[in-house]
Amino acid sequence: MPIRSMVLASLFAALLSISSYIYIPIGPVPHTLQVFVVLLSGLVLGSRWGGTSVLLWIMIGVFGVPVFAQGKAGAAVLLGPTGGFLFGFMVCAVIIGWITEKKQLTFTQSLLSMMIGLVVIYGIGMIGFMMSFKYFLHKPMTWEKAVSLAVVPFLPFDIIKAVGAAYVGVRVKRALAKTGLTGRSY
Amino acid sequence: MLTDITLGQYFPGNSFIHRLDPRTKIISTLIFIASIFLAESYYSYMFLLSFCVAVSIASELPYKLILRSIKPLWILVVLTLLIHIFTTPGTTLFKIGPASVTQEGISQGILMSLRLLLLIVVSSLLTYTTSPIVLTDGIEHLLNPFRKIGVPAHELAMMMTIALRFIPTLLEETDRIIKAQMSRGADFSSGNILQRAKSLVPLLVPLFISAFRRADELAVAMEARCYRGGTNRTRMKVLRLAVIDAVAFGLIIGLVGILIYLRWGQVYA
Repeated sequence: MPIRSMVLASLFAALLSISSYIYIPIGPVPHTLQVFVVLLSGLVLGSRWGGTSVLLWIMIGVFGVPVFAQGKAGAAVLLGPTGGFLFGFMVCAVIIGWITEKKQLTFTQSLLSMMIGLVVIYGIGMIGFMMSFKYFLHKPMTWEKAVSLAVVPFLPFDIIKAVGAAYVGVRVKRALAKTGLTGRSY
Repeated sequence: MLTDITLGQYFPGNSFIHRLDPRTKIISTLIFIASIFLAESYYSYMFLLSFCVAVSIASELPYKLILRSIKPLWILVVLTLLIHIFTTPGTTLFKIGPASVTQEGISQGILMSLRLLLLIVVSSLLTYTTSPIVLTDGIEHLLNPFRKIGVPAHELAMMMTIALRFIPTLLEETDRIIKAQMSRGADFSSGNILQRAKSLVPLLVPLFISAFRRADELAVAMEARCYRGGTNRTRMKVLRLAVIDAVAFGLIIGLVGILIYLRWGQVYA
C-alpha cells in the first residue's frame, strides 16, 4: 500500500472529524462542513482512498470518539435516524472518486459528480432514516414527513457546499498533483 | 466555536474492566449490543440493566463520567420516550389535549429508551476503559482473520491511529487559525448565508494546506524509517488473553443464556 495515500486518507478522516465541529449557525439546525469534506475527499483522493477515509471516520466514531455531528459517538448513532447518511457519505465518496478519477478535472465535471454524490447521500440516507424508524425506533414514519425533516432543511445548504467543494477541490487536486502527494505511487 | 473534544475519552485506571484484553472488551460489547435486541420483557431488561450497572461499578469510573456520555444523545432518548408514550394505541390512561397517553405506550416507551440508554452507556464504557491505541490494536487483531479475503487489517488500524493522533493537532490548528484570522478582522458569525459561507474560506484554506503539509512530513518520516505495512512486523506490546478474559467471556455468555431462556425457554417449560 502506498504510504502517502494511507497518510492522506488518515488526515482526511481527521479533517472530517473536525468538520463536525465547524459549523455555520443558521436556524435551529447547525450546518456542519461534513458534506463539504466528504465530497472533497472523493474528489481529491479518488474512489478507493476517499471511501477509505470516510470509513475510517465512521470506525473512529463507532468506537466512541465524539466525531459525529454535535459530538455524538458510538454504535447507537449508526442505528439512529441519521445512520443511513453516514453510509451514504461513504458510498458518495467512492462514487465521486470513481467518476472523477480518470479524467483531467474541470469545474463543471466535478460539480456534476458532486450533484450525483448528493443524490446518493440523500438516497441512502433516507432509506436508513425509514429503516431506523421501522426496525429500531419501531415508529411509523411517512416518506413525506421524512423528506420534510431530513431533506428540506439541509438540501439548499448542501448544494452551496457542493459548489464550494467543486471549486476548492479542483484547485486542491491540481496543487497536490503538482507537489506529487497524489498521483505517484511508491 | 470549538468545544473541547476529549480524545477517545479514555479514563486511566486499573480496574477489572481496565485490565481486560481489548479484544475481550470489543467482542463483549458487540455481544451485549446484540443481546439488547434479544430482550423483550421487563425481566430481560432488568438483567441487562443490572449487568450494565455491575460493569460500570467494576470499571471504577466516576458516575458523573458515565452520565456525561449520555449527554450528547439524551434528546434522542427523550424523543423516543415521548413518541412512544403519545402514539402507541391501547388502553387510554389520560389525555393531554388531543393526545392520549396509553398504558402500552408508557411501557413501550420506557423499554425503547432504556434500550437506547444501554447501547450508549455500554459503548462508552468500552472507550472509557480502553486507550485509543490499545483499542485500534485490538481491532487489528480482530480483523486479522479477514486478511485472507483482502481486508488490510494492519493498514486500517494504522490509519485509524494516525487519524486519532491528528484530530487534536488539527483541532488546535483550527482554533489557532480562527484566532489569527479574527485578529485580522475576520468575522465568522454575521451576515447572510453566502457571506458566512465565504467567511469560512480564510479558515479552510490554511487548514487544508497545513493538513497536507503534515501528511507529507509524516509520509516522509515513515518512509525514512522503512515502514512497509503489516508483513513481518513485530510489536512492542503483545496482546495475551488471561484468566480474567475467560471470566469476562463466561459472564457475558451467561447473560446471553439467561436472555435466550427468558425469550424462548419458557414456552417449553
